[in-house]
Amino acid sequence: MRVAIIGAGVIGLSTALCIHEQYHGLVPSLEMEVYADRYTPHTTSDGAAGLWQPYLSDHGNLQETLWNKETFDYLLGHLGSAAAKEMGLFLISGYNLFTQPVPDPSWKNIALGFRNLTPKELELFPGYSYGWFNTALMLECRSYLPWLTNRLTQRGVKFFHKKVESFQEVSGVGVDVVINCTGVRAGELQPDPELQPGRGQVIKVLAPWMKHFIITHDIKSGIYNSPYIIPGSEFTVLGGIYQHGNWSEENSAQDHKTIWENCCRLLPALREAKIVQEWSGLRPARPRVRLERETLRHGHFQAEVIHNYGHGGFGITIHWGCAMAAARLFGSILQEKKLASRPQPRL
Amino acid sequence: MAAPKVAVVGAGVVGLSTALCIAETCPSCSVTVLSDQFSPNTTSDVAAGMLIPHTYPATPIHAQKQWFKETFTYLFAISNSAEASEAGIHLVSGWQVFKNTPKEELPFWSDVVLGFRSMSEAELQKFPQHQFGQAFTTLKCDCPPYLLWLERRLKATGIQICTRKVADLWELHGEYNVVVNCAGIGAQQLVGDKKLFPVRGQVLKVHAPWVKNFIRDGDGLTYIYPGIHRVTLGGTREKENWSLSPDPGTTKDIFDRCCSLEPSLRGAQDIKVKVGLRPSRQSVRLEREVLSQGGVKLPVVHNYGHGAGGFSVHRGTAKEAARLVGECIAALQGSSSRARL
Repeated sequence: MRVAIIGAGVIGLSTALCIHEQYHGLVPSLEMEVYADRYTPHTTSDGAAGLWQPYLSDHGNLQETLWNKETFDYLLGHLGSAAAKEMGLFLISGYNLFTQPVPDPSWKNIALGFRNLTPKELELFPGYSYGWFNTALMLECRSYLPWLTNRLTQRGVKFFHKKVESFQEVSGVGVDVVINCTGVRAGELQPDPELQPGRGQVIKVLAPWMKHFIITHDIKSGIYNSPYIIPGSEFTVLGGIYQHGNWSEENSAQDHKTIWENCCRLLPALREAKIVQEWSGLRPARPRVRLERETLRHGHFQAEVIHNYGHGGFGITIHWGCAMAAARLFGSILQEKKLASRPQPRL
Repeated sequence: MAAPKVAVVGAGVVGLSTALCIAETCPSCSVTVLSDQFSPNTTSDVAAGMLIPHTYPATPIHAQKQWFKETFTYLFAISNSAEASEAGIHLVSGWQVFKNTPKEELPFWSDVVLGFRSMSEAELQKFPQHQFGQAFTTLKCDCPPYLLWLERRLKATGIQICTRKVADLWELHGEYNVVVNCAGIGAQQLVGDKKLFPVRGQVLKVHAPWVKNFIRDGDGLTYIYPGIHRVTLGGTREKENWSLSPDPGTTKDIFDRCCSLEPSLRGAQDIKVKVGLRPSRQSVRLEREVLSQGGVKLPVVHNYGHGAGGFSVHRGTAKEAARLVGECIAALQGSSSRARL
């Protein structure tokens, strides 16, 4: 049985690994291939700081909240392992800041030690009158994606550097299941008006004294349009840009100014930070994640497609829950094809 | 007295901050810092510089709390300013974990640090050998940056900093009107204080930049303190051990204990080993003394014996010492005006 994953960002690679881990034992003939036009460090995932944090509101989307929780718990379980450093996984604490009281988020009991900020802590952030403190996780894709790639390579998964122009290109050559993890450019394979780029720009600086993330929120401007500072293992990411519908991957001088001035106003010590890199990327924004099966028929060929795209600015946060859900869909495909050598494990 | 001449002996965190406080409260004073050691070779440079107080058995708690609060407030303002990175002051959050629930659940400083609370069950799961814990946010003074920043502030006020080994405080009589003794562990030799004893601490300073939270075992022996460039792993508390040589067996023991609290430390690189002698005492010696020899008097202010808590109370004790220096000068001016009559 041949399985092709299109896309090698955090979604593509983790879905590939999840499926291979669960089903290779059950389907000895399983052959897996990854196709992508961009690999780490050039994927959208690589530009993200890597902080696990869902959006403020899940808009009643309980499914996504559960996937976020599954991801957090999965990563937390790996924290104590020898692999954590190689995965780019570590704990980090920090602040979410608001100009007015807001309801607690859906993830308050998923993250660790969630609480409101005390008045003394708010003195650190003039202009903000309310906030949260919690401990969350960082998963840096410039480490995580190579780690996933190594695990997949060890398992015999093959990688191809290729821009897939149509599902038929892949399904027409004997691939039984296609996993569509194409992120923001999924519309090129199948039009999806709900999928739009949420353009972001970030400045990477050296600020090794920073030990906390600081994320500000401006309810009027919307998510990620307010300054944020996220320290990583080597660089600190400064951001605060979200432009819906903007396809440009070029760095904008105006956005640079916005990010730099806003972040330095938030934390004056940043003026001493050395700028190392600037990067722009397109969050694959969608009202909800597209995670579903589709049967594609083309002439005599039939292929099963599992769509797993549209994770906006929370791909890292939700990735493992979605990978597990995609794996369950894969299991149902196997069930239908009666290819599994014994009943599926209930997961 | 035209410009009272004050000598501060010692250039660790206590000496430098005391000199700065004297300059702030007595602008007409001429202050000189004298020391045989400077950053990066002081005891302060070995310490992680975490603002987590040590409890002195013989100092009233309200005084310790006042010193800590004063120090915390002072550093909090710096951490919040544009100078934070230059001064090496930064906020850090983390956990103090206990294998057995402590009798005293709330330390005296719990309302000075930020966001102090008990750890949740979910947080404690990360520490399977520990039953209870406290989470809070505090400040860290990284050395050498903090000491170098203090030195720059001192020089900006016109204070002289001189390399000189002072073997006896009387050497300074004639050159200086008041002597301030911030010699740390050196005070044992300098003034023969038998109540002062070293508590040897060995630490590892490692490259592990993914460690963003501090972890401290409530027994005070095992701790992980992330600094600007290095994480300090500790430690030991060896009373009356004067050895400044790193012990390899101790290094392995510290590393193993810290890795059991934070397994990812196994991947730490470039391990540097340091040793410091905490200048320990039942109470900080913070008082005036007038030395007398053959009819000659030398006013001295002592500010030493901070043991494991130097960084936590340095600014508070420095301000008190500066106040005592003011008293010495007032007494000298009073007696000199009496002498003129």
